[in-house]
Amino acid sequence: MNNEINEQELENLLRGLAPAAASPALVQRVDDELKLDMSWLSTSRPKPRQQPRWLMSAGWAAMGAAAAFAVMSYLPTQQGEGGAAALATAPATIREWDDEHGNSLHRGRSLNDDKLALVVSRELGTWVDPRYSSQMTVDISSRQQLLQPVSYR
Amino acid sequence: MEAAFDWKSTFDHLAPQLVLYARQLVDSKADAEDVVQQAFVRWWRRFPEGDSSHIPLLYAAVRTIALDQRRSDHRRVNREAKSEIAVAGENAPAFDPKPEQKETAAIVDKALQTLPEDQREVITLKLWGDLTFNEIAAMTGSSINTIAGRYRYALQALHKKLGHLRADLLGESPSPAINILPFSPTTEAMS
Repeated sequence: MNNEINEQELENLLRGLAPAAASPALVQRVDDELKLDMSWLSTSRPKPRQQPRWLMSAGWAAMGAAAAFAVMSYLPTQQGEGGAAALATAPATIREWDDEHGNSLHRGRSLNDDKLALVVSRELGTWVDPRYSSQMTVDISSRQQLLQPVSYR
Repeated sequence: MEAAFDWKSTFDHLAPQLVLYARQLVDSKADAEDVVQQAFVRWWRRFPEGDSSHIPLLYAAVRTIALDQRRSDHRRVNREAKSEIAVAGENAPAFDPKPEQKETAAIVDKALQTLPEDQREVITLKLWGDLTFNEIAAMTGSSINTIAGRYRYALQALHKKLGHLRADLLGESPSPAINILPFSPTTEAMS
């Protein structure tokens, strides 16, 4: 019979040896330290739920966009700068008729012969937020009718 | 509030193995207990539910803190040229054997100290920490093959030192040595 222990028996032998217990002083030290934690936790407010990191950046960007839009809507639109402007003249209200007596062509105007201009503009605004290196572009288009101080006789 | 103190049962269950492991990495039992204290508190703060799936992280914390402490100890020793003050509990036994295991425990304790540190670490984690090779490999940053090899070498080394204990352990009377001589020594003597 083989007098030597095999590998499995050796493992079992080693596992069968219980490691020495920790000293009571160690248990006491851990206890003290964790109690200190608990006393601190019980006086502190619960930790707020962590929000996703992108939410803060997105919030700032949205606030910036809203502020920019508000400012832009109050500013007078500038023609010819920062955007393409198209000027379309409304059809004139000048009318012509033949005078039977004078055999001449008369030119006159109706009561509503004010000349109106239709201004269609498109403005592009770009803002850069240095904190987040983000760039924001706002496209504002408008369509306005302008009364031109011109009279025809 | 009671749940907050459930750590005691977890600690009672894990502390002996943790201290044994820490002792393989630092010089004395006192140092090992310091390491275990720091590691356990840190681990419990992180996982207050004491989930067993996080136990490998506890051993990893023990390892990190022990290695840090050893580095600072070495610096201190170089500075102070090792004082003569004996460290309390430096030679305390690593095992808590039953009466019939005392001899074995003493031999195993000594045999463990003769192993290279990396083998000693693996065998402690595997046998008493109940970690898998995978977990040990992840913890130490070595490959599984390396860890398995260290374990095997360590077992072979321990086998050489403990192989003769079979009879004592299994309660068998030692079998007579195999006679490889071409004659019987007893008959030769009688003739």
